[in-house]
Amino acid sequence: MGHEPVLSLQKVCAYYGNLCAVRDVSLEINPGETVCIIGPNGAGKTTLLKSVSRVIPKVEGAIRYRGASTAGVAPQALVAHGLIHVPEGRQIFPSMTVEENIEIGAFAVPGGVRKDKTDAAMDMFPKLRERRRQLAGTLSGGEQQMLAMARALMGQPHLLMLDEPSMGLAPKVVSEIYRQVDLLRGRGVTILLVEQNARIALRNSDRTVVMASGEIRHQGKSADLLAGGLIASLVFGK
Amino acid sequence: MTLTSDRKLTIALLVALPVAAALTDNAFYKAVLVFGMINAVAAVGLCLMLGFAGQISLGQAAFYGLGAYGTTLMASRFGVEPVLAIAAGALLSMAVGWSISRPLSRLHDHYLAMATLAFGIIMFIVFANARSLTGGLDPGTSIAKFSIMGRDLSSMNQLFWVVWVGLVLAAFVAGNIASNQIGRSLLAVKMSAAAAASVGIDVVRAKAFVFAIGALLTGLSGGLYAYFARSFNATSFGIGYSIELLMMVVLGSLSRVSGAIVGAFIITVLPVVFENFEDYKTLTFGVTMVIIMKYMPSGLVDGILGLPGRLSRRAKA
Repeated sequence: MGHEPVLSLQKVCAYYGNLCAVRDVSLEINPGETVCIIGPNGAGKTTLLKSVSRVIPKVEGAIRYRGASTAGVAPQALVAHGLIHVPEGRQIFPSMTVEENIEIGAFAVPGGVRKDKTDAAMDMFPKLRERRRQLAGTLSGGEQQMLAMARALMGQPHLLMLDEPSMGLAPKVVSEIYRQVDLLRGRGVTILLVEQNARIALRNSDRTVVMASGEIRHQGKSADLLAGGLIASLVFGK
Repeated sequence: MTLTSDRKLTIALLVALPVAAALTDNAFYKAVLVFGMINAVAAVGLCLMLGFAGQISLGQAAFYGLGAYGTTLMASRFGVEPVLAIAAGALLSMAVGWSISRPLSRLHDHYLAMATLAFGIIMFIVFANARSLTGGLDPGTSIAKFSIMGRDLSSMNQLFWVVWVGLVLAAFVAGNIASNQIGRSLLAVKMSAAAAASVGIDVVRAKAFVFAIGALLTGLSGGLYAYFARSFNATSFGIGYSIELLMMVVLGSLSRVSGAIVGAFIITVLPVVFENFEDYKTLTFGVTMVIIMKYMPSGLVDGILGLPGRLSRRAKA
């Protein structure tokens, strides 16, 4: 595949009714890269992810995933092609066991659940292995987030979109989650990450995109941004 | 979820029914048994929708009516063989269920309850007023005796077996759905539609599927009812019946096919038991519902099956 970007957005706009939540966003993500979107509440970060996974209907502009346009493609077809979105708020299946939650992650994968993949997902999150027979609803917040990520891995992602994995978690748990994100990066998974916690996001990504009011305000290498102290002025508009 | 472990209990119930029928010579009790099975078929349909997929419907009476009128029209106007007429009625109901599921697929919980309630009311008005097709409220409509290839099978004994086969069919369909990949995806939709979408489940299609199957089984139940009652009018298909079906499922079990069958029999038999206490009937119903919801929130069947464990834990404490 070489240099073809995994995901490319050109002048993407997304609407809720007549309200424009994302405006003229252009962005490319290359294989193996981790790109992070930061910005204040209501900046359109989550909406942008939803536009990519096609769960909101009113999206304009061109979105290409692995070279092909996703216009008119059903969300579940994208999942089957490895575009996996872990929605915000730890969306797990509370009355299924941990193991069942992980297995259902392979729902869209041709050939179904494979034992080795389930094992690999649990190897990545040893805590989940300990609790494999437990109902997912009884897990702690951090464990639920890990479960959502383990489930996503079962879908064999080419592009993994994580929406605020740190939301509502204790600092210690957040760093644990990001250790796993780091592991995924090490394995060459392409990641599009949305975070409110700018510091964590910058430390754990190659490139950062700053959004506010639905538009991209800045993009650049995460390391540069971290060094330059630009973030506060960009995010808070000082 | 214990969906598959339910198979044994369901089979035991299905076997117990003919035994119960053989034990009584009383035609009235036998009729109650047959009516209970007819209700059970419809309850199994709603159990799939509400219990497995979390799609509440307060408009099931409409599907029941579509099945009954569809069957009657096919048999009376076109002289179709009764078994095929029942199948046609059930398919008509299924087609309507599938088509209303599309506009309903964006609604959930209370909103879905309201919308299906409205659908039920509209269909009742149609049944009551499209008199050239349904006979309306008065004089209603009637259907010839049930027969297969010209052989009369309309005695209560024979009808028992016909309805029994219908119930076995319904339990078989529901049991299979519950224990396979589709059942998994329905459960996933029930627990979290967002998470279901994120693992690649087509949520709209899953909902359409369960609405169609629920309507199919409830329509089948309506067709059987037509041959059971032989003469009926639109009052059988009002909101009251939708609520009764909901009570059957909530009372029996939200996650078991066997629960729907048990619930159907309780709701069918209770009014018969309390026949002489008309004034206390509603009171007893209400109190029973409250007690079950308080102490057995997942239904009578799960509550009773879980009782030994609960008691032994209490004894240890």
